[in-house]
Amino acid sequence: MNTQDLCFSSISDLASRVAARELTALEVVRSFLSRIDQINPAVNAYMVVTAEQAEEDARRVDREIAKGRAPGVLGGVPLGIKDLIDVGGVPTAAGAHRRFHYTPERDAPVISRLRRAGAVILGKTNLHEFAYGVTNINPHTGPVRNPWDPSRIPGGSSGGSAAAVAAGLCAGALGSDTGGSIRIPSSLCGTVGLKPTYDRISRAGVVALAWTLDHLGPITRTTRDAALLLRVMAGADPGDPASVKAEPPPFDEPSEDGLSGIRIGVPRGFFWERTHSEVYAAATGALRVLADRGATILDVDLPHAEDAGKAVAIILSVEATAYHERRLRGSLGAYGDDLQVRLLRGFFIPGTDYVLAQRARALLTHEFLSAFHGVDVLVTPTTTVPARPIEEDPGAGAAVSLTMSTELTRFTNPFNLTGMPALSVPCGFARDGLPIGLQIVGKPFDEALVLRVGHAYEQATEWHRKRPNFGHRS
Amino acid sequence: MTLEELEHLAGLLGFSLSRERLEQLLPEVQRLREHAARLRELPLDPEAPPLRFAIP
Repeated sequence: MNTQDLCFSSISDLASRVAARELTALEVVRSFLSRIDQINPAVNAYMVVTAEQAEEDARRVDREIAKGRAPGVLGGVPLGIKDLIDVGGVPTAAGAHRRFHYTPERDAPVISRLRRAGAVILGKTNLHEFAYGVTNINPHTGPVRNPWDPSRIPGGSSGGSAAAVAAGLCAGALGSDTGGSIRIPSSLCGTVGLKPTYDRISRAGVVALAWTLDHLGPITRTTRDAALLLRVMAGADPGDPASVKAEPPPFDEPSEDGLSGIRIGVPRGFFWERTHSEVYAAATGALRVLADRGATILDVDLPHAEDAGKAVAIILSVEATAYHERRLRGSLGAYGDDLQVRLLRGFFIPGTDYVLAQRARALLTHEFLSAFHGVDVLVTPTTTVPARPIEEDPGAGAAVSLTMSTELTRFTNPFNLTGMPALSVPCGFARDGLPIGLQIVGKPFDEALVLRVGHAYEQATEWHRKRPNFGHRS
Repeated sequence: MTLEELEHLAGLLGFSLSRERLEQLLPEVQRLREHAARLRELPLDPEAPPLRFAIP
């Protein structure tokens, strides 16, 4: 196996080969570090690469194996971490101005879980400033570029994580998702992205964007890998009272059975409107594949779906402004243009409108839950369009960034509002070679079924096996 | 809301914003107010906001 093949191996394959002593963890980590040196300058996926620490952690895994101890389910697996999640001793920058950086002493609980399972942290990945946007055009760090076409955005805000996974710069990555920030870059970069159920994963030690909408989750190359990371990341955390108390069921063994007996709901109307023709065709084709695998396809009605984005916009605006208020009053000029507009707008929303949006959230959550009475999962396109060009004109940047947020979060943010688990899997490519994603949504805490449907789709298709060639698409 | 009204409100909140920034901000504020107006049309009478205080 050459270095490139190794860097595109699945998490489960890498972990099993390290455990079986076919590879050392150090060899794996050095292969990825070498590829990062070679590729990252063209993609800008990583903010910081913690090479020395990664090599030391890999050696520790190898020593454990040499002593005959089990290295953990992620033993020697190299991961990228979105740079708003605390990694002890490494600055958390959140894609922001230097004055807002801080260096945590301890790992966030989710990082501790990954380390206990043997994962090796390669570094911190780039993001939209403070995770508040979908382009990853960042005035402080420069834009992240889409590995499938460097003139295009990767989507965001976890664009660095998705670009790193797509480019073979880590085996998997962590992202956060407040309106679609795991699923959108996964759709645009051709990766698998899972936003679990709200509160499934602890958010302690993570820079907040909007407390009631924020989720953490994995970005990977396969659904099985997403399941494996979720199993490690999920569970109760004493430092985060909001995290769910129950340990998760095993997600990492999606059934090899087809989808016989599974009812897939297709919410017609809103979730398929304003969709690029090639996205529509790819998602429709995916429904046929799922039907061929044995699923029953049924139409479902979500009469107020269009109002979900309106409630999200109000809740997000108010909570983000509340989080940043002190910094805004002291250092407004340290924020980029689009962040200043996004954060200032929250000051002009009355408290009554915030409560109104939360009441609408209750109504919409009941409505979405009702839609599941006759079906097991919902399926929609992940985004309306493939990756847009990177806007190079700073004068137009803020307006373009705001417009793209509305466009790209259209199908994803309803599931931040309602807290339901949602997965994006690659389901095709546009004629210009840009990836397209399919969104699979489940009932609260039913990640296992969402992953099973995603896995069954992958088993029948080859989209997730494609690799970008940095302008020379394959 | 006019640009002048927004400027006045921003001043009351302690912000002195450039005209360019106010012009970028105004459509966003108007958009969010339109969103709220639409949400007021929903049948929300039975709905309590999902905001829960929990003693740690």
